Amino acid sequence: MEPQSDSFRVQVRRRDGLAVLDLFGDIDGFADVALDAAYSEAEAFATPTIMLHFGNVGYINSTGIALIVGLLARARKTQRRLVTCGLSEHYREIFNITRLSDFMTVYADEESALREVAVA
Amino acid sequence: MPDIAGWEVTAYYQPARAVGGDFYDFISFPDGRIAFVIGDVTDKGVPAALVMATTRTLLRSAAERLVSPGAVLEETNNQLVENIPPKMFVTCLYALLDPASGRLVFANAGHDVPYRRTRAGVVELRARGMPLGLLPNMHYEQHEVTLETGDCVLLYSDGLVEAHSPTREMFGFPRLQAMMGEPVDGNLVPFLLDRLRAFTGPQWEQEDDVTIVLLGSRPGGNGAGEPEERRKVLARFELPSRPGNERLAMQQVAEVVAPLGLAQGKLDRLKTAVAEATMNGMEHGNRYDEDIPVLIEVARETDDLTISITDRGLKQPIPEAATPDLTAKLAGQQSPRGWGLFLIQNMVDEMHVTADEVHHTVNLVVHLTEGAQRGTTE
Repeated sequence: MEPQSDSFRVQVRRRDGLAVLDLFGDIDGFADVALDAAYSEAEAFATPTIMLHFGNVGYINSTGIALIVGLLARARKTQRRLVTCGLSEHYREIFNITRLSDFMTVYADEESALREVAVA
Repeated sequence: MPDIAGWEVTAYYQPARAVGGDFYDFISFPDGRIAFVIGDVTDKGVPAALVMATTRTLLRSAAERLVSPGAVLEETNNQLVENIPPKMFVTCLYALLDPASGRLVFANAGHDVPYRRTRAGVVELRARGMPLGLLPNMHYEQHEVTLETGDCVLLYSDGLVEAHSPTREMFGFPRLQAMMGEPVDGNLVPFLLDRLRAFTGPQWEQEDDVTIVLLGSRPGGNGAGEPEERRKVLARFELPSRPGNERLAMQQVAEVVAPLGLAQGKLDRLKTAVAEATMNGMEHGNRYDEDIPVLIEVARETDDLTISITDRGLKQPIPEAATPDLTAKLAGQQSPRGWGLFLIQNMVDEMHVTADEVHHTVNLVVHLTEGAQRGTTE
């Protein structure tokens, strides 16, 4: 079956030294194509760090976790740093349990991420 | 319509043709008990009407001599099977209410399962049995519940749940069950009929008879009584195995458990576990075949809340939940997928898997401690 996404969209922008993916809606199997395309767009900014902004995400399922793992693997392959911000308390817990937070820094918000990336 | 102190009974019948195959009946007994009967004869028109009249007479005759609903259906079936025309049969639900205690004993001959609305949610009243008139010497399971003040029980025919919208979408059981749970001022029957009309549209060509019988215990009435069983089913519903439907499972379970006042963190974890287990059932058990639903039951037993999610995975075993190796996944040595069972196990206090020849059931258990009170944090 062909997944159709009607509950996920993503916008890509650059802010200072960051390429930011603003994620909206649910991250599940339906988000695959849009997320992949957006990440490619973010790569084109050629920043050393790409940030996934989860501030407007309501639901991430295990397939969504797998998509994030795929992006993280892709970032590591191209020597980029993948970071996140805006995760709810529940999904922060899931990022801890799955150990994703061992491989990608979880910032509380975009400003905190910008400060640290600027220092780095 | 029977007039029972402390109870409200409402019936609605709309045949699809001039002579329909649905019927309902009320049988009063000298001790104050009353039987509620609803049935549906295959086919329509005069032949169906004759079978309907015969069945109604046989049921009344059996009820005069027999008390238990299961025995009444057995006797009626044995009488009917000898006289019914070929290729016809009758589905029938027979429920016996003791208005003083609220005790409702019921048996079912293949009829659509009634819904009971309680303060905690909407549940199905299930009892197995073959339709009447097919085979002799059938046994009919009998179950009982005690209706509490404010509860109601909805009996209905398939013409309601099989009604179609202008775009050929079916009304369906999940929609009916969800509507039953909505807050309604006054009687539920006009509310359901309004919703049905809105769903089918004004040009609806009614395909089948629609029959509804509602039995409600009035607040302050006699139909009170604490359930005797320690384990209380709060809701039972099914969802088609369609990608994305795990969100419906998650939302419906959240609504059912809302009165328990789980702390936000515990509720979020439960929702994730329910979504993942439902997704596994739909994908691996039912292979996303929309005709095979996942069944979800929410039950409370003393301090435990258990969500049971059943698929039809046949003998395919559910693997043990293992900790995924993220390093290997990032190195491309393993698939990035495979998080479902691991997440489920980490989101609830206990996870048990049971299976028979046909089904898998994943039981998710959450311990309801004092931390489960509304407004507390963890």
